[in-house]
Amino acid sequence: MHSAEYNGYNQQVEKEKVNYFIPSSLPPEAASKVEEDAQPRYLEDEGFYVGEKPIVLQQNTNILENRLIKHGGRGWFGSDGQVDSLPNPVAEMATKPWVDSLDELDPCVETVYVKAQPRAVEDKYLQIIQNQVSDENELQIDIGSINFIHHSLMSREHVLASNITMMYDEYRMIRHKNYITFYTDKLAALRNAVETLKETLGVDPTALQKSRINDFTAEIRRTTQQLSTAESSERDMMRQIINEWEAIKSLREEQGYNNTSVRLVVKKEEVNYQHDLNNWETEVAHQVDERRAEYDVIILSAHQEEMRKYQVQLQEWKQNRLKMKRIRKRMQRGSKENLLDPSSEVAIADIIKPDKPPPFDDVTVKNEVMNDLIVNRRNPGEARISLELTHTTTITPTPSVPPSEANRRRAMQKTSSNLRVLFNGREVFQTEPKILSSDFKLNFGSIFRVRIAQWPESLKVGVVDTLRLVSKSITSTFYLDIPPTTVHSGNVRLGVSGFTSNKVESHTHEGVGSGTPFTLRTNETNPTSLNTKGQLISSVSWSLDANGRVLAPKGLVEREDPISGANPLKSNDPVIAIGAERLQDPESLTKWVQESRLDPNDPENAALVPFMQGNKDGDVFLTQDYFRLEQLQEEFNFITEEEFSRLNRFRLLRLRHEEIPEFRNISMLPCNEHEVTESAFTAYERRLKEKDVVKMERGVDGDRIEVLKFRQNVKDAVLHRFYTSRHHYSLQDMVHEEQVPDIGTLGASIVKIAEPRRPLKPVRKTRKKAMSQNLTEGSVRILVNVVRGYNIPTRQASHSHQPDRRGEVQVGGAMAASSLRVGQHLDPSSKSYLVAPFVAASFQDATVTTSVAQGPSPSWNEELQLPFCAPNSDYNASNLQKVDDVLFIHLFDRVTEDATPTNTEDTATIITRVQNHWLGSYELPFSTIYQRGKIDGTFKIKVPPVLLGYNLEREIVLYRLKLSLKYQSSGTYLTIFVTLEPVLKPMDPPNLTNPTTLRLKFESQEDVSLLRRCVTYLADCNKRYPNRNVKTTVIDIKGESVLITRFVRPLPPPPELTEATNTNTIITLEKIARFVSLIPFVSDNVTYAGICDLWSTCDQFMQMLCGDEEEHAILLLNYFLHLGKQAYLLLGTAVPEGNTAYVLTVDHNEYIIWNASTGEYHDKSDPHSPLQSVGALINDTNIWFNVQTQDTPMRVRYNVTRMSDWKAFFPITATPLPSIQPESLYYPPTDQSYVANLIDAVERTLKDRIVSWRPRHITRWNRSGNSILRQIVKGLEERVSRKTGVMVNTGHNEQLLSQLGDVRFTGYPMDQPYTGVEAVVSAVRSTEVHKIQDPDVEFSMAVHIHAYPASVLAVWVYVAAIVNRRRHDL
Amino acid sequence: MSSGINPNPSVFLLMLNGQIESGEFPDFDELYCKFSFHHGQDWVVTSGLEEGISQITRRSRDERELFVWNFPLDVTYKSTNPHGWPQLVVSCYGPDSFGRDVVHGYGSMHIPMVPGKHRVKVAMFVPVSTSKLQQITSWLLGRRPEFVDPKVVAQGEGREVTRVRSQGHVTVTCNIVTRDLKKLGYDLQPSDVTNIPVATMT
Repeated sequence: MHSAEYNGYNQQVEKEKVNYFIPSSLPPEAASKVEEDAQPRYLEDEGFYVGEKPIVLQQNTNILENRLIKHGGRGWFGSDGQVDSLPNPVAEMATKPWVDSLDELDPCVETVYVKAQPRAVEDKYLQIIQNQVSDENELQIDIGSINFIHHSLMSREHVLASNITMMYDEYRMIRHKNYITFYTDKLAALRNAVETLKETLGVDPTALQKSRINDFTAEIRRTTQQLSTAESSERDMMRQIINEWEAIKSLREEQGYNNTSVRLVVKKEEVNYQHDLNNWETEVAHQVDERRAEYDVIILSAHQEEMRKYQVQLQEWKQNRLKMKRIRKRMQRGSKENLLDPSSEVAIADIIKPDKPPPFDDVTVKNEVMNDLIVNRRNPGEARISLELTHTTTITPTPSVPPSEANRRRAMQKTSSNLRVLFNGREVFQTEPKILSSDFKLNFGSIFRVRIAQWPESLKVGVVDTLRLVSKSITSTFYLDIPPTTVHSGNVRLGVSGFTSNKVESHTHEGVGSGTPFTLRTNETNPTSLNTKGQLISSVSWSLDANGRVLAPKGLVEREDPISGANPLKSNDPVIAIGAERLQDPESLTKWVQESRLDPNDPENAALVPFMQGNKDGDVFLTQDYFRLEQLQEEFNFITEEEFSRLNRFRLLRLRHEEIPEFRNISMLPCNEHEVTESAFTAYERRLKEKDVVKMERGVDGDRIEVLKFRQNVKDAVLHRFYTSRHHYSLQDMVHEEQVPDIGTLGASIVKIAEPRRPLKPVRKTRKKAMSQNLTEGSVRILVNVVRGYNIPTRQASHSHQPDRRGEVQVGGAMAASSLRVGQHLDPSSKSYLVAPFVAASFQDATVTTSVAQGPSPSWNEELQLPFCAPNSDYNASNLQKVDDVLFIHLFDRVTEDATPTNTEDTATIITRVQNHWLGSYELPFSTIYQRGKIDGTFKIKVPPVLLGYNLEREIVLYRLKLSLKYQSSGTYLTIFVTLEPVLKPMDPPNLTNPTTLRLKFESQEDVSLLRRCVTYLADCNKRYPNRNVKTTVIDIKGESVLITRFVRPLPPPPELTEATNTNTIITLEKIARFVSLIPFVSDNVTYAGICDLWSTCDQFMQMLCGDEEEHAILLLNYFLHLGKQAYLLLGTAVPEGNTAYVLTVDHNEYIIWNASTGEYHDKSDPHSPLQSVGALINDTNIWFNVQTQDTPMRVRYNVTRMSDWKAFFPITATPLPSIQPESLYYPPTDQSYVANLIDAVERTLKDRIVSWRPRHITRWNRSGNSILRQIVKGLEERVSRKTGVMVNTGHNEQLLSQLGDVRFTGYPMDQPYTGVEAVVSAVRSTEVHKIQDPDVEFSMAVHIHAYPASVLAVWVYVAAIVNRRRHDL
Repeated sequence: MSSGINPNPSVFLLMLNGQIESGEFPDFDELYCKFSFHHGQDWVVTSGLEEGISQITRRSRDERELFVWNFPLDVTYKSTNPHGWPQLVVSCYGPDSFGRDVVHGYGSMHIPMVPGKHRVKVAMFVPVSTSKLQQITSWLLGRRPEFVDPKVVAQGEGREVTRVRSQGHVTVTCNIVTRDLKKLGYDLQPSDVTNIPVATMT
């Protein structure tokens, strides 16, 4: 332990100095940043592209640099002494301008939609059509040899030898061309010509002759100069070669071995000195003469000309002077005005006498000429030298060379090279690898043929060096020209193409390396550095076929024309990308590139670099750095597209992949094409056809079919989009994870401990939902719990028409008697409550029944179980919600009657016959059960308005329920509870806040801000009450989102419905509702289960004559609004539909809820109303969402102006937005003859069917009954629409009884919207009238179709089974 | 098929015969594994078990720290289409430090296509909790996140929403026999590199 110690400030500073380093912010010395004894090198000054460095404060840079220097981080600095940094990556211009809000879009940045124009793929590929068997396109590539001019494995001697070889080649070329002889001969010829010309000239040559002589003289002079240049350059060349040879010789001596075989032979040709001298002197004389002549012609004649001019001017001046003198004299005498005439004054100074040119000096000229000759030409007596390069030197064998050289030679032997040829960027072949020979030549000598299917765009050659057979490296690549079609294998010649490599290599042995400096000559001070360089001797041509035809693609000729628009290469040209389209001509392009001084190192100009380098031949290789999607698709296709669609197996595979219902569960799809039968598709094809056929049967116009088809297409597209989005999973779909318990759940779990074990009021626990993968066939059941029934029709006692009680007992038997007592007990005043009802539930061909109960208000309390089989055993949510099976709940009366023949004496045996009389039914689509999980409540059974032989006891129900009479609905009710066991997990309804379902948003014509408001409004509503039904936008038939209020617009109903009565009575409303309900109901929901509804406008609806709840509701609402009613569209949930739309009318505190698709209406406080909750109200101006805590119709306050009860979509109710509905509807009159024919057809079909349903019994028709029913049925439509069905009932009975006498009969009139004959038939069948097995039964039937305007048809069928009692009793 | 060899087969057969040999899972003491096969629609198991569950094994007491199951696999497939080639899905479970059964890894492998003996090391992973708090509670309660269906590891769909952590390896050896594949035009032999034609040359 130390005691506390105080250090003085200075001491402290001293210590800190030792330990601390504070980097200075002053710039560090430049020398400390670069390599020792090296100067900073500024790449930018040397013309390299360095890019722009990001801006850093100088002070910070200095600190950083000082710190780096301190820590010895020299590696951080570049050669220019700056910290190495990448160029600033931030672009100056934003690629996409920032848009603040979509509302105020700057017109400058508004995007314009331009439809994509697909470029034909054929561009790249040669036309297949032309590509017949004989029409193959073939390139023939002849790879001759490679000559390395420099190679990293070359020794110094090789470098020199390569130099000398190159020089010698050049020399030989000059010699071959033999300029000297050429010019000498030319000179001689010219001189001759001049001589002869001069001779022919007379004393006075013409101007033409003179000029010719002058021309000749000039030509002679030029030629003389050329001769001098040629000769001197040849002499220079020779001198250099000899120098190089000297270097080689000295190098060989120095190293003591030979590496190359080059040897220079200097041949001297002895010449005659005298002869030479003579020639030389003549030459001198000639040249002097010529110069003199030239002097004469040019200088002297020019002088003479000038002299002549001078003389003229002098003469003029003299004359002027004389004139002036005369004028002056006159002036002195007379007027002074014209004293000075400026024009007359000519300055003497302007006229200069030209100097006489110096005389031709023979001696000087001769000296000049001689000097020139001595320097540039062979001097007299000098030997004529010619050089010859031979390869005769023997190379020193490897054993006798020093080890470093031996290493080099070994390395050479290990190195082999080959060529790779790439056509359009894909390798088509490689040559055999060849080992480098000692003269650095690779002889390939191979010819390849490449059959091509694409337009030739590039032919690239890569030189691959292989070291020790393993490490491969591409040293250099270069391009070969695609030959024009005229070049074929018959006429092609080998050409030379050069290549270089910038790969840096250095060796430890004698090899000089590549790109690294070395000293070539011993006495040289500055080292040289050479890159690997070589020449390929090759040729490319089009092949010839056996007939000598060129196998070049057609159209290549046109493609060569750079101006023609059909040139496909043009569109691939990178040059166009920079906006220089016009420069199609490569030469001018190269020129332009060079003139525009683009930086070759800037990556942006990469595409143009080939142009900058300015190829010697003016050829340009286009690099292709564009991207092409799926460019190799064709090659990767296993089979052609055509076959793919033709072969059944592939079709099957594809349909399965598309999850077409018929195919999605096919397994073990056959492997061979022939095993796939056509029958596999029949079901699918039939379905496709049925789409049309079914609608044809409905017998309405072609318009409707068209619209339906269109609608189907829109639905399919929407559904497809939906299913695509279903493939996006959330974490909950994938991973099962316990939720974090928050305070609430923790608290609840603590409270749970203190809870009573068996509470008196247990809380309903939600059942666990079963996952689809755990489900198997038969594990899912539908549970139907039938609790009780209300107001079930009772048998009519009156028709038994018995004076004595015996018959009654006989008819009812023991059970009837007991039920009679029950009835009497209920209401002693009447004994008519005799009924033995039971409920039969049927689903998917399975039917289960409850036991038989007694009386009009039975209590069964029984659970029925029905098996459920998913189609194709697929229990996936997406499949389940397509199930369109319906659960039927039928109510029957079991009538037990005595079938004992009356004439038999055997009283001990009583034979009774059991008959089930249909009383009514209720339909529940499976999709509703599936979506809602459970259905619980009291529902109205659809009972025919007239049940022959039964009484509908309305009053009792009213009495029991103590309700207001006015809008109370009558009818029969069943309390049931339906659920699935186990509960299937329904498909999640699309949630707008979920990003995956945002894909479901559709195109819209609505304002963007409006759509945005819709999203926020919906999100807000869903947050507050997620289960309440609300919509803001719906999809119209075009597949576009439309604001829902646009559907609301007052529309006049057909005048027939309103003309007769006062428009404001409930009867009119009833009539209208009846009309609307008669439009056939076709649900979207069954198939699409809330995914999307397509809403059609009223005119489309009327045209198609089918729609679901929304269309009906909208039409009804629009009619009501036209009548001046205060009405709203009510979105809510109802049974059995689920989410649905109703119409609410408000009239002096009376709130009536209309079900538009059935025509029924209820008071808001009717407990039997099918409407379960109220979600939103809509009219043409606004949408109101129910934000009250209660949503059952009877508890909701309907005053939409109350902000606390209703959340409005538009805060201020503005003028309604323009509607998409038409102004009025057109109701074409219905064709009466068509209706008449239809009545006949339906009746005939029904009679045939009833007969066929009773194969073992005779079916008799009671004609008088038929005619009575026909009378009755015609009046039914009028009466039923007034809701007076009960009154009618008795009337029917009386009518029938009075006509037929003592009969017992059962029968029902049924009405339904006309959708097709089959629908009517199945409705009749469901009544099971035909099942009556009494041998004496007779049937009566009548059909009537009430025609409303616009082909809205109400079908009435009245069937009755009549048993003649008298005959029976006999 | 009565003669045994069908010259024109309509299905091919794939037989796998092997075992889930061992696993390497640091930090655990006892493990058992479940396996199941996942295959496409055109595949049918003709014999053998499609699912199974192994015994519980303890970690070996040597430096290898292996969990050895040597659990046999024997399954024969019949198929018409190589699409949906069967995959073996292995999931490992075992007690955690509080003795509760939790999942220790999921992994999958394609049944090798080439006949012969193969030894495959299957990497195992588990989904991780979505938050630290979840992690603590799941550790406390012994309810680690699990895949809804173990077969999701054999599928690509929906994987992007999950985060997983590597757990260890399971070594599976299998012997593969195929029949009639070549007759149906599927060549599973690796082609000879030297014989690949590079261009149509004459």
